[in-house]
Amino acid sequence: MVQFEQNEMETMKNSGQVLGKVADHYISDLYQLDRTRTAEEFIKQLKNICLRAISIGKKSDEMVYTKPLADLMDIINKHKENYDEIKDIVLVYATFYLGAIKYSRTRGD
Amino acid sequence: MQGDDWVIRIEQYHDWWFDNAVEFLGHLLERLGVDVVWDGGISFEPLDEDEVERLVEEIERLIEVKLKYPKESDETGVIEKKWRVYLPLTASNKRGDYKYKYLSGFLGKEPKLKKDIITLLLSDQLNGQKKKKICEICSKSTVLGLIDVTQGVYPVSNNNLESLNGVRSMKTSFKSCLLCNFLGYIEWLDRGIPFTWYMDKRGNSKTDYAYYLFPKIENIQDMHQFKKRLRDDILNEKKYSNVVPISNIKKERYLTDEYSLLLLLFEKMNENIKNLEKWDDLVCDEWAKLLIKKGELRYSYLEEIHIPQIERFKKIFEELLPYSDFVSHSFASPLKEGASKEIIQRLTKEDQYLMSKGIIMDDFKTFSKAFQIRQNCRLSTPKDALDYLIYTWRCKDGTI
Repeated sequence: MVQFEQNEMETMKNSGQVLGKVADHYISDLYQLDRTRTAEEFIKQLKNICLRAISIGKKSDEMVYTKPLADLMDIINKHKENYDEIKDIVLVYATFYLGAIKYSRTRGD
Repeated sequence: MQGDDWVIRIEQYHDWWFDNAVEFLGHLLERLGVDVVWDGGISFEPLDEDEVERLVEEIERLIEVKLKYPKESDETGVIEKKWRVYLPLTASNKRGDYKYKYLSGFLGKEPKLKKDIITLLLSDQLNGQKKKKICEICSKSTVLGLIDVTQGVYPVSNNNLESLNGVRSMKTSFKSCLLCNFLGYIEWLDRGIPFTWYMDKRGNSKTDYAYYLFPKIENIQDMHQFKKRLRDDILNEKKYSNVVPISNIKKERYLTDEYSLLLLLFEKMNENIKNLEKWDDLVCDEWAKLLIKKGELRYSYLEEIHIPQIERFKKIFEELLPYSDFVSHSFASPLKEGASKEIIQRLTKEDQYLMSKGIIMDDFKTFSKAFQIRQNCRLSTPKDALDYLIYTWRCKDGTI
């Protein structure tokens, strides 16, 4: 199992946060990310999610920063052989933040 | 002790069940004040009448403690002792309208008969007699007759195969000697075996199951030391489990799977181990998992658990108790309204299993599966604990 650097972990965590925000609007993007089978497919789907994030920012007042996703692509290129492990960590955080957003909204209601 | 003629020697079987049983017999004898030598098995001087009597008394006491549990009667409110019927030890019989349960095999015999059997086995009465029959478990010859091996003697025995597959003419009975029979039965009374029993709260007892975890330690003396620590300081007999969560919650919690049981057991061991330098020597990384499912027949399944790099838990336990602080506080939570209570309970159970298994087996893939959104439910977990766990697990220097 690969051990990651501290800054890489931070990037994965922040990417999870961005993915959680996007998944709040488009949950199917998260499912598609989960279904990717190669590093290339994973990066391609991340690019789609970046575009989604920009369009969410334009439609609503909420800004979604996509820098963590760009950094994540660099990490994936660095650890291409073990992209699967990166995917697992990112998806754990993404689901966690998605849940937190949904929960805070129900509390707000 | 004065040489081989004067001692009774029971050798190690190199088997998960019988090695634990030999160790347990040695433990019982030590409690009676008998001098036991641990060396590839146990050796001790033949028991005298008083020691046999005290051994039978101890077995009778343990039957009450281990094989029964207190249950409040729905009608009268009186607390009664009920048999743990999921174990393959109880049989039922009908007398008139009343169906009563009783213990089968050695444990169900009258104390006087138990005394006679133990006298025969553990005193020197059989010394010098010509031995003819060979036991199929220990491969040793015996002067006494051989008995069918039932699930009570060896839980994964296929003795009732003919009734399981419907071909009644198929006979697969193994025969064992009286000593193996005795050891097999008394192992059910062992207080050094962690267990958890899951009972459906809605009263559907057909979904009952229980997990028993047997330490697999080759050296029987080391096994004795390990189980002694479990019996003395860690395991605490309760209705559903003998590993009780650390938090001060009055209501007893269900541990629904074997990996949660193991994780909680390690947490409790970690609390108990003062000298952390010896941590990995004091914790066992090989276990045999026995699953017993209740039905008309008790189905039993055996699987081995080998825990990789057990020393990594020492680092995790410094700041976090993975079961008590994290897994037990994680639950499935619906994303939209309309998810039924049954679905939420089932997903919570599944997610806790995946998380515990992932942590125990050092398998992040399994761990991450718990976070997948299923049936419109997501997993709700404490954030700080999640951060700490992932960073210590997957980060190079292991700090946040």
